[in-house]
Amino acid sequence: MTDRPYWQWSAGEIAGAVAAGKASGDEVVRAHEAQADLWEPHVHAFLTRVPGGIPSSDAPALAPGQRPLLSGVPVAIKDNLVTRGVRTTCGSKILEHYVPPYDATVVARLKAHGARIVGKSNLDEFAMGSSTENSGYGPSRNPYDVSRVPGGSSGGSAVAVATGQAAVGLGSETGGSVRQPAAFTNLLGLKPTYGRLSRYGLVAFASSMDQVGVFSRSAADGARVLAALSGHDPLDATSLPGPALDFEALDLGPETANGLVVGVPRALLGDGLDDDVAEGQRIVEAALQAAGATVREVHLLPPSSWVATYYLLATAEASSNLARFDGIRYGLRKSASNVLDLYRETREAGFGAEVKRRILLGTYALSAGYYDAYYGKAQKARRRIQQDLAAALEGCDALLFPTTPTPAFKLGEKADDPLAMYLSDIFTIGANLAGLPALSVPAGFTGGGLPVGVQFTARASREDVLYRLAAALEHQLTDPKERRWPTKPS
Amino acid sequence: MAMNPHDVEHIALLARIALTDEERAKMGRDLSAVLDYVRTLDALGLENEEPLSHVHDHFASSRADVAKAAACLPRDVVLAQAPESDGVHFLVPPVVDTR
Repeated sequence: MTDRPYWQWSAGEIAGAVAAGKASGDEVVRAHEAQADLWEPHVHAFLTRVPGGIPSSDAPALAPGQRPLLSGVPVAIKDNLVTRGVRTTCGSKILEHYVPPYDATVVARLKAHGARIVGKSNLDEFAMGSSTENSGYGPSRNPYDVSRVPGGSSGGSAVAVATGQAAVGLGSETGGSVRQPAAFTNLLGLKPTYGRLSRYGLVAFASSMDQVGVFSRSAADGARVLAALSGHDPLDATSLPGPALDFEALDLGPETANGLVVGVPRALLGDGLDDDVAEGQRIVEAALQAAGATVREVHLLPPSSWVATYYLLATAEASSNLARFDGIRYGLRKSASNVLDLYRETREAGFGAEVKRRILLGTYALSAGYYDAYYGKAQKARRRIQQDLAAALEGCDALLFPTTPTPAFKLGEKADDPLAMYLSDIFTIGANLAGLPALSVPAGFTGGGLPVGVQFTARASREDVLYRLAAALEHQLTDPKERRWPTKPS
Repeated sequence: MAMNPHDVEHIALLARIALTDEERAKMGRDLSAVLDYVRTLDALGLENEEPLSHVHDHFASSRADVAKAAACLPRDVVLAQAPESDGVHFLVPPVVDTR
């Protein structure tokens, strides 16, 4: 089998050994918990750890003919996915003591596939942020340099997988919240096609873009999790029919990218791009060509239009979605003599600054007299952006450009400048607006030892192409078994 | 587009968030900066574009209107999360001012 410790095993290795009775699921979980004991004082990946994993005796049965894909696999899940009987905070003080009475569909499917959910991971409050600094419970830290952010909003899951506290992780994306932390922590981060993974039980931020995403240390592990969790869910009215891909038939061999065409929007690679990130892009382009893929130039609208469109639409949807946190049925309540003041005082006390900022911006964009100038205009821009990405993907199997303009930034560096923080997501937002699948993959390290990432964007429902390209890079550049693990601070 | 404290106060009332004076001033500055940035959309010339609400056709799909008793949460489970309850209802302050 392998003489590496369990916490370095892939999800595929663990599932195979546990299903065959060659490894004990409890021992595998204990090895990951020992990693958590070592790392958590330095990185704070989890808001709630669950010793032994969340019990799965209430798991639904797999469909006939389906075999479990995640037997014994330790998984970290973002704390905006509801878990029956386990506290779910969304990183917010307004839900500090909230214990959901039901499971999100993806949580139920993890349990059904035999996964061991070892904890609820840290996030920017209600997934609003790019660094985890907006968590109501303190930030997570980047294990490759603990003075830097791990990215966000799904930073906690990224840190857990990067440090061997979990083999794979779930996050969620509205504007890059899986891909950006994956790029900052030497992981693969998938944002599936909109509708691919059920949103039932994912606490809503901006419903027209929200999507559950997958962190993994290899293409094979990411595809495995996607295959286990996808499939139509009648509880989500935007759920797509059918599975995402046929995991058993997916070719992740050295020839898999042969003949694929990859489009590169050169104009994006100009001013403001960090030298090490540009170098990562060059290395990946060369590796793809060595793997038999063709690289050609494509043109895209400036991504500043993605950011502008996103921050009108996402905040507008958030202002509506977060109206449910009102101190009446669950969560924090601040007492008042009348119901209007109860709402106002509860939300003032329970929400952090960024959540308030976005609710106010969204309320403004939807308000009488401003709707057409802001929300309406952004909806028009969204159609233009979707058409623009579709045109760029004509004649290409995928687009390739950096996940982020820079590697991980320092804690506090952007905390007081919301617009600067928003611009750290500038390259990821297009896929969310257009509903396309996108995958961030490792692209080496800076001279200072910080991970760099680039991303592929494919046509809707072509997650298979994304993982094939990622696998080709593993064959050309770095075998996941040889991964560069972070070193724990002394 | 500069937002003055009066604008911020109005929006905060609509959003049901009580802000401190300090928060009001900072929110005004932050929101103005973002609203300035979103004016970059004007350069796209979007007058004749159709708005887009859903990225694909699989939305608001209907299902059979069948009650599933097993999917309904028991009252005591729901009320266990309530900030204030009498065991039967959620308790709230008076909604109608009867003075």
